[in-house]
Parts: sequence; C-alpha cells; structure tokens
Amino acid sequence: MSVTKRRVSRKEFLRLGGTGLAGAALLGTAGCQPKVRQSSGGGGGAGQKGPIRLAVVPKAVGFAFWEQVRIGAECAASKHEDVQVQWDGVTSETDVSGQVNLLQNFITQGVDGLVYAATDAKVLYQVTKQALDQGLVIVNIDSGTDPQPKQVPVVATDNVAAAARITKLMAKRLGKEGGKIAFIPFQPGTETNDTRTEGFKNVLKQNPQLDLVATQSSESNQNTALQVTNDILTAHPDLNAIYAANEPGVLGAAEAVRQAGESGKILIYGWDTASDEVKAVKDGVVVALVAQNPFRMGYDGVNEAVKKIRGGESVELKSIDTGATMITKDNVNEPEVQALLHPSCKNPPL
Amino acid sequence: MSSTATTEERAGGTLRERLSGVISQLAAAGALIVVFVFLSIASPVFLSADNLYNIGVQTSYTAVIAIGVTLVIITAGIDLSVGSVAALSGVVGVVLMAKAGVPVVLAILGGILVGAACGLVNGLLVSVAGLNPFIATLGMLSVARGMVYIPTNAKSVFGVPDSFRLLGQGVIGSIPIPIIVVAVVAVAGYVVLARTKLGRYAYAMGSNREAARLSGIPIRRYLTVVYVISGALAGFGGMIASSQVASGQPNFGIGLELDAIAAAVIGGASLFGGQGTVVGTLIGAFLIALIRNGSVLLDVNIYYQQVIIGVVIWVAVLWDQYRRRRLAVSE
Amino acid sequence: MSSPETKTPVVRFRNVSKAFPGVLAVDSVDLDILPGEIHVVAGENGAGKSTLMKLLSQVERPSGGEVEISGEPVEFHGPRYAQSLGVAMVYQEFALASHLSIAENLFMGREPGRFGFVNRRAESEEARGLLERVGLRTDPDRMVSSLAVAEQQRLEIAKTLAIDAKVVIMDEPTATLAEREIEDLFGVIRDLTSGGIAILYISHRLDEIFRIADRVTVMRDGKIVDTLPVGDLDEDKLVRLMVGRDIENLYPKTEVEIGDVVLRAEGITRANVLKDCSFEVRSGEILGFAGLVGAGRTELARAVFGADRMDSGTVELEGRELNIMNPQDAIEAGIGYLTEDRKSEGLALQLGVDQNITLAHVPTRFGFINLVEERRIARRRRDELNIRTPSIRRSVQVLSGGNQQKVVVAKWLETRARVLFFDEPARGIDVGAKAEMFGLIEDLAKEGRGIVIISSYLPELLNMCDRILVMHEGEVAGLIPRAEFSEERVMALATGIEEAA
Repeated sequence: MSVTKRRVSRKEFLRLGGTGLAGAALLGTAGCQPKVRQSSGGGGGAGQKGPIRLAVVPKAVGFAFWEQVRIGAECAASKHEDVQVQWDGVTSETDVSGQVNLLQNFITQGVDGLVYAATDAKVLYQVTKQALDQGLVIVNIDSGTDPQPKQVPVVATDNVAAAARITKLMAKRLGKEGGKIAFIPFQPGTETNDTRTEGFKNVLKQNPQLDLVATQSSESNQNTALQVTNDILTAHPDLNAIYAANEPGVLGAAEAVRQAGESGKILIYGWDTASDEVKAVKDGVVVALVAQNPFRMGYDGVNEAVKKIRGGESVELKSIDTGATMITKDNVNEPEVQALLHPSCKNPPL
Repeated sequence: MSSTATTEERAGGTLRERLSGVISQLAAAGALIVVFVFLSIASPVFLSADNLYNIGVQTSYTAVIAIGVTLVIITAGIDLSVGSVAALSGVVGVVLMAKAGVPVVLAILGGILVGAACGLVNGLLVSVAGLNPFIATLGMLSVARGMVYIPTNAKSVFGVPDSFRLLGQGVIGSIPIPIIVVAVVAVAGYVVLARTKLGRYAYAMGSNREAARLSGIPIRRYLTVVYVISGALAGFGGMIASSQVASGQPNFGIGLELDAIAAAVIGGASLFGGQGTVVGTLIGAFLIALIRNGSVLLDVNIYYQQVIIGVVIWVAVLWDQYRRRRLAVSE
Repeated sequence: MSSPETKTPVVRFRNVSKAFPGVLAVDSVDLDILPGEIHVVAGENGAGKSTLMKLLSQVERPSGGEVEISGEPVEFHGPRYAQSLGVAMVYQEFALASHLSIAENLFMGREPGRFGFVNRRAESEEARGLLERVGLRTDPDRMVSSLAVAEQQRLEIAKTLAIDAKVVIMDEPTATLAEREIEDLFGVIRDLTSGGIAILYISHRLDEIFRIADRVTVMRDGKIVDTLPVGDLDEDKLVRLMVGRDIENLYPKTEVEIGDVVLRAEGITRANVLKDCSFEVRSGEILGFAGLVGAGRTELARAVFGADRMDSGTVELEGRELNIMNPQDAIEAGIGYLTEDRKSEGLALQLGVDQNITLAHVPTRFGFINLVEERRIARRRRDELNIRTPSIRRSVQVLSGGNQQKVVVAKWLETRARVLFFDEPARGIDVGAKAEMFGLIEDLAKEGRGIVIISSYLPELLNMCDRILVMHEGEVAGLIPRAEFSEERVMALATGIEEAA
C-alpha cells in the first residue's frame, strides 16, 4: 500500500488553526491513499466549483468490509474532478467517543462533507447536527443516526430485509420439522446488530418450528465466538443450525463446528465475506452468507455527497439500498459474486 | 531470656503456617467449588467430558498469560500490556508461518520472542528509566496494539498450516494439548516462584523494594527479567489463542489484561506486591472461565457475566482482606 | 503542682478489657488520668499499652468495662467521636498529607469557611497562633513535605490544639528525634500541661521517663502492674516492674581483644552531605557514630555500604581496596548494614523468618533454592540468636520489634560479613530485647568482627563502644577513645562548640 503525503496549502493550513490540528490532520491522512490536489480557490453560487474535500469515516478501520468501503469511496472520488477523500477511523467499532472526536476534528478542519457510518445512532446524531449547522453535506453509509435528518441520506444494506432472506433460506432447508437454532449476535444495542436480529426474529415468528435455544454474543471477537459456540454445542448437542450476525461470529462458529466434527450437520448461516468465511462456504461448513456491497456504499456515498456539494441547496438526496446477495456453494464462483467479493475500481460490483 | 520454643510449639506453628498458606487460596477455591456444584445441578451437560474439555481449553491462554501477570504483580508491579502483546505475538507468529513459510514450531517461538521483546521494553522502562509500571505497560498496551494494526490494517490473517492447530486444538491420548501446556507452564511457574532466586527476589522486591536492594539483590536485572517473562507468556498465550481459531487476530485480547489481573487477584495476589501464587491464579482463571461457560450453558446474557465476574472479584478480595486482618489481629 | 487526688480525672478507665481472638490484650484495667499531668505508660512490647490507647481514642471497641471522659461515661462511635470529646493522638508515624500546606493539614476536615469554600486567610491566621504555641515559627503556607521530622511532629501536636484536646496521647514521640530536639519537645509538652491538658505518654526509654513523667503506670501482659509517682521509682525498679524480673546488665560490655584494622574508609565525600570523612574499625572493636540528626552518620554508613553513591573516597577491607558501586558489591566484600528503619528498609515483611534470614545469601543447589538447607540455616540462627517465633516460616511482620531486629542480624551473619554497621539497633524494641541485642553485638565483636553502632541515644554509645566518632554537619568532628568518654565531650563536638582536635 503506497502512502502519499498530502500537501497542505498555506490557506488551508491557516484554516487548520494551529499545529496541533495540523498534526492531527497529517496523522489522520497517513496510511491512506489520498489524492494530491492543489487548492485553487473556493466555490460560489448554488454549488461549489472548486476542489472538494470529503472525510470518509467507517465504524472502524481495518476490517475487510470497511476496506471495501474505502476502495469504493476512492474509486468514486477518482471519477470526479477535484474530489479528494480523506479516510480515517477508530480501531474499534465500540469506540463511540473516539469516532465523535474524529468527526469533530474533520469538521474543525473544514472538510466539505462527511461520509460516515455511525457507531452509535443517538450519540452521532449530535455530530451530524453540528456538521449540518456548519453547512457540511452529510451522507451516512451502512448505519445512520437516530433521528435521521431528512437531508441526510443513508446508503446501506437493508439489514432487516437481508436478515429475513437468509433466515428464510434456513427455514426452507430445515423443512417442516424445523429444529433448534442458536444465534450469535455481536454487539446488542448497535443498529447493525439489532436490525440483523430483527429480520431474523421476524422470520422465526412466522416459523414456530424453528426453536431458538441460545443467544450468546461474540463481542466481535473470534476467540469468544469459538468459546460460546463450543459451550452452546455442549448445552445443546442436538442443535441444527446457527445464525451468526457478523464475521468473527461466523468464523468462530465455523471453527467450533469443525472441531466438533459436525461440519455440514450443523448448518451455519451468517453475515460478511472474509476470505475464510468464503472458504468455509466452499468447504461446506457454512451454508450461506449475506454479502453486502460495501464497495457500493463507499462509491454511492461519495457520489451522493459530491452531487449535493456541486449541485447546491436544490439537490435533494434519497436513501439508497445497496442490496444484499446470498452467497452459497452454488453461486460462489460466478463472476458477479467474485466482483462483489473482490471489488476494484476496474471491476466494480455495480 | 532463654525460653526456646518447644518442639510442640514448633510443630504446631509449622502446621498453622502451612494452613494459612492454603487458606489464602481458600476464598477463590471455595467460590470455584460453589460455582462448580451449582452448575453441576443447574445444567445437565455441565459435567460432560466434552464440556470440561471445553472449559480447560478455553481457560488455557488466559491461564498462561495470568501466570506471567502474577509474577509481575508479586513484584508490586502490573502488566496492562498483555492483551495487546498477545495479539501482536499471535499475528506475528501466524504471519511467519502463513506468509513467510517459517516452520510452525519456529514461528511459535517467533511469536513468543516478540512477546518477550515487548516485555523487555516494559522491564527496561520500569527498572532503568524508572517509569511507574502502570504507565510503562499502559504505553505498551497502546504501542503493541498499534503495531499489530499497522501492517494488518486490523484484518485477520488466515492461511495457517493445519499442524499449527495442534497447539490450541490437539489432543495427546485424551488430554487436550492446551491443558498440557497450561500444566507445564504452571509447574514451571510454581518452581520459579518457590524454588529459584528469581521467585524469591520477586516476593522480596514486592514486599520491600528497599530492603531487597540493601540485601544486595540486583533489582534492575531481576525486575527486567520478570517483565520479559510476562511478555513471553503473553506471546505464548497469543499463539495458543491464534491456534484455536487458526488465524491471527489483530483484535484479540482487548480487555484480556483485566481477566489476567482478575485471575491473579481472585487467586490471592496483592496489587501491593509480595503476595500471589500460581495455584491461586489458576483457580482464579478457572473460576472466570467457569462463570463464562456456565453463563452460556444457562444462556445468560453476556453482560450479566461481566457483572458476575466483577462481583466475584470484590467478594474474593474482600474475603482475603478480612482473613488477613483477622490473622494479623490474632497475633 | 497541686495534689492530683483532688481533681476530677480527665480520663477514667473502669475495669476496661479488650480481647482479640486468642489474646486478652487489655485485662481489667482501672486507671485515672488527671488534668495537667504527664502520665507515662511504660511496658514492653505487647504489654497492652498501645491497645489501651486505642480504646481511649476509639480506634478499637472495648470488650468490657467503661471509659469515662471528664466524669461522663462515653459511648463508642469511633475515632472522630473521640476527637470531638477532646481525645487527640499524636501518631508515631505522622498522619500528615505531605503535599498540602501546614495550615491545610491543621484544619483538615474542619476547614474554616462557608459553602464549601475555604477561607484561606482565616486558616493562615489561626494556624499561626497554634504554631506559636508549639514553638514552630514558620509560614503556615509551607508544604509539609519541606518540614523536618521534628517540625512535622510539632505540627501533629498543633493539630491536637486545633481540636481543643483535653488529653493528648503520644506514642513514643522521641523515637525519631535527636537529643536537642527531645529537650525542645519536652518544653512544649510541659507548656501544654500548664494549660490543663493531660498527656498520656508511651515510652520505652527509661531516661526520658524520669525526665518527663509526673506519674508512671507500668503494664505487663495486658494488666496494670502499678501506678506510681515518678519520685517513688528508680531505673532498676522500673525495669523490674516492666520485665517482671531483674535485668542484670543493660549494656553487657566486656573486654575484647582488639586486633588489626578490618575496614578503613578514607576521604568519603558526597556533595552536600559528607565532606572528607575518614575512619577505621578494628577487629573486635565497637566504634560508635554519634551526632545530631542530619549530621551525616547514617549517610556515611550508607555511602561505605554502597547504598548511596559517593563522589570520592576509598574503602579498604582487610587491606584490600574495594570498588563498591552498590550494596551487592559491599555484601560480597564482607560489609553489612542494618538499617535504622527495619520495616521500610530492613525486612521483607510478608516473607517468612527463614526467607528473610537467607535473603542476602540464598542457598542454592543446581540453580534451585535448597529449601532443606534454608530451613536448617534458619533453625540454627533462630536457636543461636534466640529468635522467638512460633515457626521459622511465619511471616516476620507478626514478630515483635526485638525479634525482627534479630532476624535482620541473622541475615547479615549469613553473609559472613566482616564489618557490621548497626544503625539505631535498639530503636523501638523492649528493654529486655535491648539488653539481648547489645549482648549479641558484643558477641559479634568477640568473634573478631568490626562493629559500628550509630545511635542518637548517648548512653548506648558510652556504654557499648571502644571509641566514639562524633560527626557534625557532614564532617568528622572528633574521635574519642573510651578512656575519655563523657556525655559533655560528645555533645560539644556534635554541636560544633568544640572544634576537632
């Protein structure tokens, strides 16, 4: 990964308001792939003509999912004139105050827009409000705020619908007799977790033959997921299926089932598409995965923000469902799925 | 004055002394037994071989790491960095075997060495630079976590050879390898504490740093070694955890230092130094694991588990203090 | 002073007892403390003096009997309540917050002012008045950490004035003071009593009991043996009452053949602390270090021992020049140093008697501690030094001061030290244990070791030493041979009145 140093114009530097912030800004950009742009005057009229600086902030940096958001965001930026994306995030999705601080730093730095995923719907609403007051354009990706201001669109997977779809797959596979099911959420209280729970439970309600016998959080930690699944298997040796709401949960559950010698017998359904998850699908340990389109979240998120900044007040943005694909052994090698799993600007999953 | 203690007195004293040593772990052991009995009744599968196996395996890395932390706590220090160091070591070890093609055993050693190196930095900061152990290891907590995120971008590292799974998942006969590993580390830890100068000096430094120095103990050297051991065991724990999930997890071990410290404290270690045993720490680690395991078997919400563990820490330490005070007063 | 019998007692203990599991620490005590009297409570460690004081200051709840203050029986509500009734305690280890000012310490918990704000001016003014009364002329805004030990003690006494105490308990208040400071302290105490405050004074030191007491109560095994006006006592009688039998000789000095020089220190210098100090100790000789607190006695011993760095100077042991960088080097060469403060510098309190004895010289075999050998050593030393402990594995914190001191001695004997520095070896230990300790030191000298005793209590040095080296402001002020010993001579050198010859 190449790192390009961002040059800061004098005017821009003054706007940063001091060396501390300048330091923070430089640190913030290190490790990303920002575009080098010279500042050449501001915009005017209805929309801004000059260069646009957008901060794109995931819930946490690092995870495969957010990496693809980054690729999508940078891809979108590269297709516009004078749009520069600054990518930065906290290291843990639970670090709400860290994200608040980070976003406030970006607001202080005077970026033109924020494209971000809220780690906490209620808390981050305050930041959104503050940014709107200062005239910034905001687009939420993946997770929005509560309340969601009408001028702030959400570019995200419809988690409830996707969760319902995969749970229906499970119900279909288990048939009329149904069976015992375990659920591994990752962070009760977060929007993503709770919407994925909602869709799942909705389908359970319609299918009383599905018996939810255990709910244990993985805390987004694979070792924890492994341990709780081990224990669930002990408590319920006749378990039929597991629904895991994110990557560490799926991988931990898959590991536990594999170790118990129950591969293919205990059916695993889950979310996300880390390489070992996809491999587990190919190996038959995991039956199906919900693949979101994080590339498109980043891509559409940046595009929407640019549209509004360039177009001015008159432009009204709408929320976008970026869709979900159920990945199974049958479709995993198809080109569209491969594009989704390994997105790039050359081969975008759009 | 020539009232030399009679033989009876001496024998009685020794017996009492032995008892008081055992009693110091009774609080934790008692709680362990209570939880064990409760779970045996509450859950039909609790006593199954599979479940006991699981508990053993689940405790393994926490126990290994907690033994190192106990050694540090005995010197009146603290090691907050073990969770981060375990993650760094685990990832480096996995990268070595999965990406660099280093043989598994050497890669595991590599991971342990990384932990030891972090421990060395901690040790030098504490003993030579004179930083407070809390500060020195708090810094390392952040540095090591950052160092594991930088190259991995916080992404898990996959692709380990199957033989690596043996460390965390294998069995010899019917005994899980991670349990054998814990037993070996525990016995070694016990011997170090009870039968080597290092152990003796750890207690002495923790009990009274200045008295130890004036007794000619090379404080800096031994203190540094203590942190190196803690780091190395954190690294080893990280390798075990990586083996259990067959991948390197940059997010592994967040908050693990608290589990390790809790295990040591529940087991009778004093944060003021001079007290702590391997057996006590093992009991503490198993108690925490039992609570976690039982909570899942009974399908208790994970957040309640945290409350329960916190309460257990309070009770164990309060009981321990009460016991010590009584002992001191009755003298 | 008027006849004490006519006044209402400030404090009256009526059949007061305190039982701890297995011990009756205070056993049916009846005792009256009269206003304006200095009442010394004497007795060996464990006699129950401190527990009795804790019952009065309500740190401990009596198991039986009644305590009256100013004629009123009092209920038990804890130390704060006792304070409000006028019972104040000056602790041996001061209870001061060193990062706060004198005034802030004086009024801690009772700050003048309203609505949670502290009226600093009122605080300062009131503080000045209180400090005046205890002879502490200093700025109330000074940080307590900048005060000398004796000044901190004055501050503790001023705190008792601040709460209008009727009775002030002092637990060995002179333990950390030099001779001149003790005299000043006694002056302050007498001033307090002239205002009607009663002083309950706990002490081991026989000489000061006779200097300060009006009446003396002797305790033994939790019971009061006798309460007498000080005029009815002499030193022998007092010791007999305390120990319960005759102590033949407190300072068992005998003739020992003095041999060759064991340790020679020359030109020891340490910036601002020690200036060009030289001395030598011969085999079989006991050398005393005398001087006021801060004269550099401890510092000189610590420099020779490598506990503190020296800037220049040489140390020779049996003719061999040593390069001592740290205590480890000194111990290897054969020098031992028994610190002044056993608890903070001498013992690893949580470790066992055996582990403390071998701490400076752990017996090992194949890299492992040889536990059998360790216990053998510990038992041998216990028998040799008559260390009274229920078990050699018992942690040293439960031992009495005298026995703790013996454990420290045992530790240094294990290092085969040729020279031993004893820094205040008799501080905080019983009369009986003291005699034993000096007997032990005498034996060590007899075996051909060189001994240095540092003490602030002159009779110890005058009785035990062959020569006394007197220090003054970091320099050697003079060296007095036994034939010329006199208290006046030592004091003259120590205070700088007499210049070194």
